[in-house]
Amino acid sequence: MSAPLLDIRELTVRVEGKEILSGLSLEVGRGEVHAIMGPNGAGKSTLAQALAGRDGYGVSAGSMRFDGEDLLGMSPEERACKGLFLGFQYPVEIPGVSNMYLLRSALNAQRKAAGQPEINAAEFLRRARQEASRLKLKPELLKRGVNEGFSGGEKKRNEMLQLAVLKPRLAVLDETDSGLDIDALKVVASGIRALRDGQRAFVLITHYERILNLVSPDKVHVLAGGGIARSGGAELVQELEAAGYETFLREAA
Amino acid sequence: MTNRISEIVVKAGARRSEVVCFEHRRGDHREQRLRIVLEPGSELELQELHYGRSAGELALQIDVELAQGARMRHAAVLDDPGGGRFTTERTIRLAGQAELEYTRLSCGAASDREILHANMEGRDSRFRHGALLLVEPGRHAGLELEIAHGGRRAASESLCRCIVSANGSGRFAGRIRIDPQGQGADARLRNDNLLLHETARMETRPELEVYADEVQCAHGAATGALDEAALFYLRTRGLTAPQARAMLVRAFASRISDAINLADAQTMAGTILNRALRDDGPGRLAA
Amino acid sequence: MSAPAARNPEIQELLQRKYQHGFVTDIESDTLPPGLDEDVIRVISARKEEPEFLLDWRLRAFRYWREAREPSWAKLNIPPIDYQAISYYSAPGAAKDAPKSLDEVDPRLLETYDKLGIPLHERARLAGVAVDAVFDSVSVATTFKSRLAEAGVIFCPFSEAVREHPELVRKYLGSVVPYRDNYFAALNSAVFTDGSFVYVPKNTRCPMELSTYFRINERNTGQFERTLIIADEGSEVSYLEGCTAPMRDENQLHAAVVELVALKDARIKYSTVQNWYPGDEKGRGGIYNFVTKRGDCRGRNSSISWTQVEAGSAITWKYPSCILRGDNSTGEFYSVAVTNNFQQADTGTKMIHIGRNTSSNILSKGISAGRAQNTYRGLVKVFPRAEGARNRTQCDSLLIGRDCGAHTFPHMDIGHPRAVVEHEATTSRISEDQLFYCRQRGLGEEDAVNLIVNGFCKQVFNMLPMEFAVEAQALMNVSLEGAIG
Repeated sequence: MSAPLLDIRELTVRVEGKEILSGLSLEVGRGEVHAIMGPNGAGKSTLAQALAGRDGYGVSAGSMRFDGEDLLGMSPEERACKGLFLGFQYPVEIPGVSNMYLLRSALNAQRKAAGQPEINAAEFLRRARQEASRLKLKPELLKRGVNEGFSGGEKKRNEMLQLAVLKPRLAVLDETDSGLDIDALKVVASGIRALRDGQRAFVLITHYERILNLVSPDKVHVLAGGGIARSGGAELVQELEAAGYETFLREAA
Repeated sequence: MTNRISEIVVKAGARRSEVVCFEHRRGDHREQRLRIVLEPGSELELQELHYGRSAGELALQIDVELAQGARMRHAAVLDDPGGGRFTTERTIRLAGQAELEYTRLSCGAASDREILHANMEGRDSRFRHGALLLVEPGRHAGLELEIAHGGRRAASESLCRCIVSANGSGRFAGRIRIDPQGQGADARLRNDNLLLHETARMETRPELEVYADEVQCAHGAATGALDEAALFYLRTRGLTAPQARAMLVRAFASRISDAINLADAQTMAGTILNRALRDDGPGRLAA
Repeated sequence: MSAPAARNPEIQELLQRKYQHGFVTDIESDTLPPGLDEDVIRVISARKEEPEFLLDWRLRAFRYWREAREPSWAKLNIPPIDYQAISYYSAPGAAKDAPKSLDEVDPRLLETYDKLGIPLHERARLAGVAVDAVFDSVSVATTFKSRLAEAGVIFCPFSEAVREHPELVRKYLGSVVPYRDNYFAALNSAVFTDGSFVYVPKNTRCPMELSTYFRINERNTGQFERTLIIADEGSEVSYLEGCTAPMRDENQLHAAVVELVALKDARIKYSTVQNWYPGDEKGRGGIYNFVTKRGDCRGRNSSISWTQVEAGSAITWKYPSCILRGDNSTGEFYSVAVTNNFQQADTGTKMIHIGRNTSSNILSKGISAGRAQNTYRGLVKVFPRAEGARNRTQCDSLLIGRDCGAHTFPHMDIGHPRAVVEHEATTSRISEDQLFYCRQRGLGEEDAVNLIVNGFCKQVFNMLPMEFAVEAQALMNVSLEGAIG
């Protein structure tokens, strides 16, 4: 039996001197979809940022291994090139840099790291357009500056477009579902389903159960008190819906 | 020539409210000094009122010092239909976490010139500044402003609006300087001007001088006449042209005049605006 | 003086005398020894067989310059310049100690050409290799000349224009930038040796972009260059100056003057990419670039547009400006100035609104890294008769690193109420969020910075002619090398 795709053990993360995650452990196997739920301020986004290697999210104890390799000490771009994708809760605007240009640069950087040749421009364009139309992303948004003047929903769909084109091994989606109307949510959910291939894994960080009704997760975790307070199957979602986070907060405390 | 020195000291932790009145009489030629000191953690609401009918030269020097954690709201109003010539040198020093809100309205002087130096020496200090210069026909008003960010994460926001009528001139020279120690600065400087007549004139220099890299600075300036489309819109709703003009000028002024909300200063500001912008007929400004 | 200067016996004697000062080799015999006085100016004028009006003008400029002082208002730290240590005349082909082949060229320079993707055959020319080889550009230039002649466009070295079209030179030279304009303009007027001259006749659209690249028969005119472009009524011309590749140049002081005249309904677009040697990473060496560029929208509905990418030079002092004299005329200024290491740039523009309904647009992007100081300085002046004048100014500065500075000094002087003048400026460091976002997608830190900086400059690059825009991007990346980390 090979190692899990993502193996987090006893992870402690401090942000601006404050301990946000304390001894969190989580295993995600190939092909699995995990949901991480929890109240505001529980540290869900901190986990996502720490996984992606953001400065200022200091890991003071524990380990994070990705496909058997130690993530600590890898730069954000090394992690990305290994196949770790973070869907941002607040996708960043980069004025003047065309959306397609960033996507192609990113794809080529990742191919280069994998020892593959650069993608042919026409092939890239075809693929990006195809994925964009599947995600119902307006074609003119491809030419605009990265997320520049996009609506909240458009930004989230653009994250999904990058996910679809970059085809990572693990996608951590940080509240990709929040702020979306029901139509947009369905598009995002079907995007995730389409990318499930038995190998690619997903970690959906969310506040709401509605996306989980559309993408049935294999495992559900409740993050509270700096660690995983409870893990279970999809049925945990219903329980949460009924009881709220209160009980878990008490358990954690 | 008369020279006067006044001083207000607020003891550590105390809260006070003060009104300082300057009456400028015809023929006055004098220098006056006012020193305001806020000790650590103290609070002050200060109204600084200048009025009278002078035709003299007045030099004012006002020094404001806020120690650690002190807070001050300061409204200054200058009304001099007599047409005196004023030069105010104002220095402000803010220690760590000190907060100052300072708003000034001036109208009437033949020449009103304020030279304002704000030193944000302390960490996390805050300064909100507003200036409204109503320049009546043939008069001059100017603001020379320098806000220096020396302390870390200091935040400043400054808005100066000038309304200039016939043969009047306004001048704004504002500078934000971020010193190398001023990392994390957030500084905003804005100057908007309304020219009400062919012969009105405005000179503007909003400057940024930045020696630190972790900063957010913005400055903006705009100068123009009243919006013709808005004027027309109001007239289609039944207002006369002077009423419409007065309403738009008042709206432009209100961004700053609304911040003058301490009792006496507010009354005085209201009187000035009503005189300058009578909406039942031609006021001095919007005629 | 009635006799042409060249035949003046005193001048002849002077030339002889100076030769005696030990200039023995035949290569150097055509270079004047260092120093500047009226005699030197007479020699320059004589060598170039100039008409008397030009010599007179040079001498008046010199006398003015002699009494004038270097301007000190710019935010620049300028080491003292010894004007008597400069040689003011060097005949074409007189370059000494030029490399004889690419093997002799500084390998770091060649490496830079590599990064910029400069074609091999151009590298020798740029590096100043002293060969008489016929480059590809010569044949290109020949076809180029014939097409221009067909259209009636005059495009030639300034000295040729003085001989062939003295009436045009006399009418327009100094009419936009008088020699009294400033210290460096006075110096240039006194001693300029060559440059470009363009005249586009009425209702003619210049059939191609004019570029200094095609001005093949000159060398060593870079130091005191003089350019005069006249667009007659209803004509249109686009002019490209400079090159993204660093050129070999042994002169430290550069003081060029560019004058543009746009008559009724004429349009001039002037694009510059400046990449003179900026000095090394310790701040040693580098070109001092003091340039006076000004356009005069003399006729109704005329327009002048400046676009510049300033990446080189140790010191840049440059304010391409527009005098909007004609009613409805338009001025534009688009600028990217990047400074790294110890570079200093004080650059911007002046928009002088004199005519009615004139409009101007200013977009300036400054990038400062290392220990560099980068200043935008601008003036928008609206004269009382300039009813309906409009200006929009946007100045953005980006800081990379803790030891650099970015400064914005705009000045607006508005004398008409129905003028609308708007200014916006921002200064910030390169955003951590943007960097992290790019890196999360797999880009290395330096690539991410380049991507973001190029995005920051995009609106200005869009104003450049296509091929320049691509090169400008590569240039930005090379200029910011080592700025991170």
